[in-house]
Amino acid sequence: MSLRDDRTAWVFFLTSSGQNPETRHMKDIAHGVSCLLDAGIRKESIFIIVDGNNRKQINAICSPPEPSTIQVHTLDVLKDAETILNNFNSLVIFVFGHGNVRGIDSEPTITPHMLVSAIRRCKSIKQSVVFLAICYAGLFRYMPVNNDRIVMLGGTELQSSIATFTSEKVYGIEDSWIADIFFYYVFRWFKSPVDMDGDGLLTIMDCYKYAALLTNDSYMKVKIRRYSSLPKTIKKYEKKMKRLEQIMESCRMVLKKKEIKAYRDLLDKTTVEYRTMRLSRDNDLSIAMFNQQDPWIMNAFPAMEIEY
Amino acid sequence: MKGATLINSRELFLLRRSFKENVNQGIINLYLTSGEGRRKVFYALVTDDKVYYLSKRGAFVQNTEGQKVQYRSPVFFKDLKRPMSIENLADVAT
Repeated sequence: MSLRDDRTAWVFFLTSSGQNPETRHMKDIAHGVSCLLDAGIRKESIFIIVDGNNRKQINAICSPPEPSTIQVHTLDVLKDAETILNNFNSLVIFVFGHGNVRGIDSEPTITPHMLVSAIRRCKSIKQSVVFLAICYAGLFRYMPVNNDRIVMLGGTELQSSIATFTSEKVYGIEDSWIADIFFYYVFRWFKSPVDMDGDGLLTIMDCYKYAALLTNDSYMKVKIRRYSSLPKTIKKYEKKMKRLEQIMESCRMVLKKKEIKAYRDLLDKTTVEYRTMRLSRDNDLSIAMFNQQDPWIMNAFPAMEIEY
Repeated sequence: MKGATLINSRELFLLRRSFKENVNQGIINLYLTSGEGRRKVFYALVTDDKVYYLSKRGAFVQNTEGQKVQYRSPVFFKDLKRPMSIENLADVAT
């Protein structure tokens, strides 16, 4: 039962408790799908499930351009999951987005127990691998799955996952976004697998070793770079954000007295600028100050047997 | 969607530089648009929770209700820095 045969379902899963998922998570999906297609995985075996209202934008980002379009499903598709998966005997799930203190950020939250139970309900599935790029992925680590062929891998333990800026060719188009480092290397492995332990097989354990090792190594480099320029970075953000705060405050004062369109527009525009700057600053600081990522694997013995 | 369009940042001289830098970093997205009746709209600046329409020179366009705007291709600025691939960070030979 190699994962590359036609009886493996590859599921890209992104939920959000908000109205829409973040664009960067959708771009992580697009990168993953693009790598699998490059590796020769059939598009009929790929299922993209993304929660959110803005379907136009979700489709535009996640799905390959025509004529290779892959349908992007809403969460409703899960009602028919057992029927759809009847044609498959292996399941690989990539979980994107945010994590919270109880599991996968969604409405309601998807707990580790809910995820494992859902996989077990799919009777045709004989082996499954779940990759988690969410924060606090370690919540999914200790589960009673020793008697099942359910392997789980997480990019981090009980702490935030780390993403950094990148530029890549996605569906043949050069794009830039803030990518999850662990998933970046997971998908690189599926595109160009490496036999890490030298046993002559390409298994999920090799994928884990490759992605975990390169995540840690890359993260160290990013951290050194960001840390060395931290004082300059903080100063730069403080100065710019203070100026924007002053503009917003002035607009609010005027708008309190009278609704004037020009001031409302300026407030909207400045608020976007302020928010994106804060996001950029938080990303810079969290990478520079954070300790490290600690990718993990659960159910390691089946992972040494599940071949790609 | 078509391949990325690379433009000079001066083409959108009415858009502040910090927006342009954030576009090139991938924090916000800029798309070239098409569509009937889009009047002054040439670009869409897309954040996680809102879409803003821009004129040919980068000014924010108001009153865009009823305009059918489609995203044609992502836009980046060729004269501003873009991030390098994560792959360039790791120097471990595998």
